[in-house]
Amino acid sequence: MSSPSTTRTAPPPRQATPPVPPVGRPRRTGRRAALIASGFLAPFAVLFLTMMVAPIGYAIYQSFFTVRRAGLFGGAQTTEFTGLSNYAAALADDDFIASMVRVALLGCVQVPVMLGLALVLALLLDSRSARLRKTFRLTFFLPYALPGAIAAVMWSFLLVKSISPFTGPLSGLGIDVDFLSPSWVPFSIGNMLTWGWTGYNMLIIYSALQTIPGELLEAAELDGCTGWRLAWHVKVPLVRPALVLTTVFSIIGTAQLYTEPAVLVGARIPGVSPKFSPIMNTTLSMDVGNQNLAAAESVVLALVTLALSFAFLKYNQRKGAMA
Amino acid sequence: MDSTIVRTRRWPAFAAAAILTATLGACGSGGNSAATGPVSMELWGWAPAYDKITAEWNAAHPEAKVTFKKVPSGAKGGYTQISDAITAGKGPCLAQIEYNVIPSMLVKKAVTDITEYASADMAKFAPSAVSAASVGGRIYGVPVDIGPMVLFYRADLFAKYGITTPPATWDEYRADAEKVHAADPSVKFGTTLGDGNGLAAFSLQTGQSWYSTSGDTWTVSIDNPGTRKVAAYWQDLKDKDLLLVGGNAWDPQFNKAAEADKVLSFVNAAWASGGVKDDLKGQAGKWAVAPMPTWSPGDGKSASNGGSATSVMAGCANPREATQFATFLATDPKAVTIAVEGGLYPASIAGQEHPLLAAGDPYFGGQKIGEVFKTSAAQVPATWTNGPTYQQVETDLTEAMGQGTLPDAVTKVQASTVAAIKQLGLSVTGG
Repeated sequence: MSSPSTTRTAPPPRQATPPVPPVGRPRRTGRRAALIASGFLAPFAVLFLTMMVAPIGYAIYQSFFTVRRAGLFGGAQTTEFTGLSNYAAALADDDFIASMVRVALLGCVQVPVMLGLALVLALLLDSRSARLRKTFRLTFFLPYALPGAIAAVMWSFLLVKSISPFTGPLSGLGIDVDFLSPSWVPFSIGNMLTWGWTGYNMLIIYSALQTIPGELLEAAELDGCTGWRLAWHVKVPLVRPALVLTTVFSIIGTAQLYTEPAVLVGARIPGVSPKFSPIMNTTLSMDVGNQNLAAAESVVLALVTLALSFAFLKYNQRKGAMA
Repeated sequence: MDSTIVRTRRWPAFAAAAILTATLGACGSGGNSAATGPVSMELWGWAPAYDKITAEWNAAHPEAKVTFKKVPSGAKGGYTQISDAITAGKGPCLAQIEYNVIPSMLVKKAVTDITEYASADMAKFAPSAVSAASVGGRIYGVPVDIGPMVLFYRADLFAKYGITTPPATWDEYRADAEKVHAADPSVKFGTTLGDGNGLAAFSLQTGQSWYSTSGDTWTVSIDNPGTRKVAAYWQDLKDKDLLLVGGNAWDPQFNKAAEADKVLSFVNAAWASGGVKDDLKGQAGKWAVAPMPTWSPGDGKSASNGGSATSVMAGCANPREATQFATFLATDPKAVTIAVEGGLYPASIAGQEHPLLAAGDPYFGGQKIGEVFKTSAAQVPATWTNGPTYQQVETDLTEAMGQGTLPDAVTKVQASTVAAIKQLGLSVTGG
């Protein structure tokens, strides 16, 4: 990778299609192979069932029940099956709905900005004239190596009005901003997310760029397609699957937003709502002692995330098929 | 060939068994056994002194070993950690619980009634602390510390801005704040009121309560005349730019302003003295303590904020030993010394006479701050009732106060609290 020009002009032999497994295996070894395969799958299956399927199933189960209390402090508590009443309560909760809308709007702005930036950085790294490739790749990726909570603490110090290194010079220019006032908070959080995740997405896109066959690029260049035109007309369409993948990851990641606003709330910054994101609302329902409502809210969030990711994938498949 | 297959078959079975053993092993380690031999218990809390006090107890009581585990403070998730662990059957035997959280812990079935073990020792504590740790005449915790409110102020800066005596009333407080603002708008007299606990404490000073009960029904009265007066007062001072916005005392923002001589005072509980001493070491001798300003001159009404008890938690197999430990933590002379050194103001009557509190504090210029705390503690109105949804009220208020004005927050949280109590299935009215 340090000498990309040679890689491009003399590409290693690549397999155009994945190897096709031989058909019509003898039955005798087939059974044995199945046993071996299930053996290899068992550790995964056990962990997957106990750590993923069982908790999700339990949450769904819990979401259909309600704890009945009596007296001032609950008295003898009984648990009753109440069907969808927790879902009705979750959807009637203005704070929960507001947090979903807030995070959705944040994602609509932040995800395209971040992925656009990641794509541009990846293309720059991949371009023939790039210098200090390894250094830049590491530099762009570095924020991702920092744990999210630490990064959020660092940013909170950079943004809090009285100690921020930015607000002073800005107010000197006559611009008086408080990056952590309620109207600025979504942008500040979007900024933290972009800072932390651009490098990660860039790396995925960059890896996809690396797999573009050299002869294809060479052909394009021979036809006079170079520089930005090469990037836009040849490279970008070819890394489309990577862009779809990073978008889906980003949709899921945004829906699960927690660390950044939670750290700011923990730092007692008044402009940040303790109900900023859907997961924060779910946690609060737990805090109050309403596990069943929290379960219903979690299921709603999971379904919305699933629907969005799936809709985006389907839309792209159709678009890809038409193209 | 065959032997490799046998080997490959055995391996996953072994792996699965290993994983299962590990998982089951992790599940089986909890619980408290009611053995006849030495008992062992856990204490979960966040007060810095508890770890040393636990060591003192263990040295003297080999028959009942207590292990201290530090959790985040209640407002930062400690209570959730404690109640979730109890729901999962792996909770501690003992936990640090603030007085205003006891009813909501009771609704979550997380604390146990220790009246039969603790009632004999209750005469050792300030009556207000005993009633704060009790619900309906039953005791749910042994009081450790209380939080009488006072005014912390910079004596040197008061002199610089021509304030000869600390404000005795809230009118004087406003006048002093305006005086400082007129002299230098970048210097703030005090700090804004920014969280639910603070609003509750200031409301208590007006002699109001946010809750009351009749029969089996809660009445929520967060939107009462006293709280409205407090909210309007602090909003007005904030609007006039007289206060340092955001951040409590000892938060980074406050410390930075204090180090630059940009903030003159803050109103908070006795336990805040520990935070000031730790965070502003360089300002020893500059800080002083005065009584909390009052609404009418000399009305003798103070307030309290925070303070906690040691509760015995649901599922504890040794409530008697646990209560003995809780009493030791709050009353043993060595334990009280450690607590006072850590900045706590004791709930025990003997503890309030502790030599360290009676003596002048060098950090506060030799002032006998213990006496200011004691006077404040005696003037806390006994009108308050705590509600069943502490976390919800605290969160809703903090959110509403951050996003809008204080008076709006009061109206908003009145409604959201009634809804939250109803959501829990308890009977409630919003009068």
